[in-house]
Amino acid sequence: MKTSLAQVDLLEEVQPGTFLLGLAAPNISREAKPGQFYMLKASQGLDPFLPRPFSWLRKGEEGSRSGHRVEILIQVVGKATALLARMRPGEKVQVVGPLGRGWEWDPARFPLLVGGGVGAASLVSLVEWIPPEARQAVWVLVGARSGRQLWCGQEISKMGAKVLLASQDGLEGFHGTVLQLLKHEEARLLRAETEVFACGPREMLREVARWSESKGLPCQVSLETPMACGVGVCLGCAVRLPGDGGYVRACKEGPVFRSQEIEWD
Amino acid sequence: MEKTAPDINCPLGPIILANPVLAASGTAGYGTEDLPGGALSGLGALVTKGISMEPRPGNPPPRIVETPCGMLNAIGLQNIGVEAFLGEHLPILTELGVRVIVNFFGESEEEYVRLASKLGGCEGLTGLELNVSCPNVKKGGRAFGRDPEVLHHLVKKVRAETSMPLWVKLTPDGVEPLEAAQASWEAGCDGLTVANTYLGMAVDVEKRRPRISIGTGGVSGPAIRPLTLYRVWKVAAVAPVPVIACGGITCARDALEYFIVGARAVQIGSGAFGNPGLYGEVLEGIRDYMIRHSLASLEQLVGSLEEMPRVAF
Repeated sequence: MKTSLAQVDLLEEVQPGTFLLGLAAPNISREAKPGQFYMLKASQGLDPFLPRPFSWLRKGEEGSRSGHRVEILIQVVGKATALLARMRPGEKVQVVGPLGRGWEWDPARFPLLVGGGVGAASLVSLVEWIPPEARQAVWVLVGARSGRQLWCGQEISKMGAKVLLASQDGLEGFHGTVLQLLKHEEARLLRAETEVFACGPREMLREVARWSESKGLPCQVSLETPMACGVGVCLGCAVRLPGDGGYVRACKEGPVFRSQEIEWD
Repeated sequence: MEKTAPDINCPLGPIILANPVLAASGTAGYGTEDLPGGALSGLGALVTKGISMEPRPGNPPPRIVETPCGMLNAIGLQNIGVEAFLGEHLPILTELGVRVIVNFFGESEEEYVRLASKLGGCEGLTGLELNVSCPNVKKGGRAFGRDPEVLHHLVKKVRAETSMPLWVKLTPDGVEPLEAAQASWEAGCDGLTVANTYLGMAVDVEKRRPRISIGTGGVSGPAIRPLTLYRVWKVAAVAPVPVIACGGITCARDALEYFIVGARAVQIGSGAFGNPGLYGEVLEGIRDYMIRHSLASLEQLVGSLEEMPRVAF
């Protein structure tokens, strides 16, 4: 695990209120696996006090050598994210990572990816991991409140996967939630060897996990939880195990879990 | 002329640590996680996550939320239990050469005593830190540390059970700091950790619900540093045992404040979450300060506050 001061080499508002942040630092991305995350802190100040977890979406390109840069999607929701979104190229961000357990891709199965909101960022890295020739067999469903917030889905469609979009305001793609889209299209999406990968709000993940279970399909989910340390010591990001199994840490044993590994209710 | 490096050896009663910067309980786990940049290697000592006789699952999520210049946590004393700590983690720490202070707690006086007996006989430990912020089940859940008489009795029992260096980590809540401190040193402890987190709360106004699952939690971070600094100053002025300061340190200057009011060592807690290099930065900053002020040893820094007012009992 690395800790670095990374230099901002890209900051672009890719959809209203969401920014693509490029960070360059020695070796921060060489070992990064899809679904892993970084802890970022924009300021050396005391407010915000804690770093924030973000999954990564792409590495390499933008003129830097692979292994030296990573791209992260930041949706402005509060002070910490607003500070990150106001960074200028050349400024430094404190980065720890890559952290946690990422996606596990089995080449023998057909991936069906389901993403809600900016959670879909973590699916971009997963699609990039899949060899280009295998991407035609990958279905990706991305939903958001507004059709103006589907940048991730549009990026993935450029990468050769089959993408279906959903927006709750009906401005783009299917008019409804990504879950409604999933159920609406299931006949053409499903194969016996499908494996589901889901990322987004917890309620959405629970429904996708239940749907996958009802179809007898394996399902991996990437959980978003509040975190303080990101490295397994504070025990703040507890995730409940089924039955009386206690808790595991989203930052260490996750953030990607197999849907049956955790308690949903 | 080249100045000689200041002596940062840190004598704490029966213990001498290589330096006065420690990791606070609950913020560096059991010391065996892969921390950024090998953070623990230069520490004076590691204080472990609070350990109980049996493993404890902890509280349901959400357990943490950020608050202004700090954070609120209610982890719920989750830990792997003493057997797993001694069997799985202590050998690794010993091999790494990390000095280890075990923070421990019980739900009853008997559990504290059993743990003290077990831990007191272990090789490879530098000392024990008594966590007295745990609810006393027999006394309606009131924390042991809130009642000086209960605290005195507890420390005395634990003291009788082990000769290992013993610190008491005082709670800042619901008790006069000097009364709790005196109750502890009169019962025979070797050091006082001042202090723990402060009870607090945060509410989600949209949902009208507490932002952590059990409603209340402990506040840490720079927000509470002036409150703890006051307690350290008050206790260190009269305590016959070393005071180890713990509360909201985010830079060397913060640590220096604590030394100047009388602390002999400092524990760094949640400040390291946002800055994994903090332990080393603080130690380096203390050294620089000592050189700048021509202080040869920590002894010359500790309690060096100008015109220190007398503290009345």
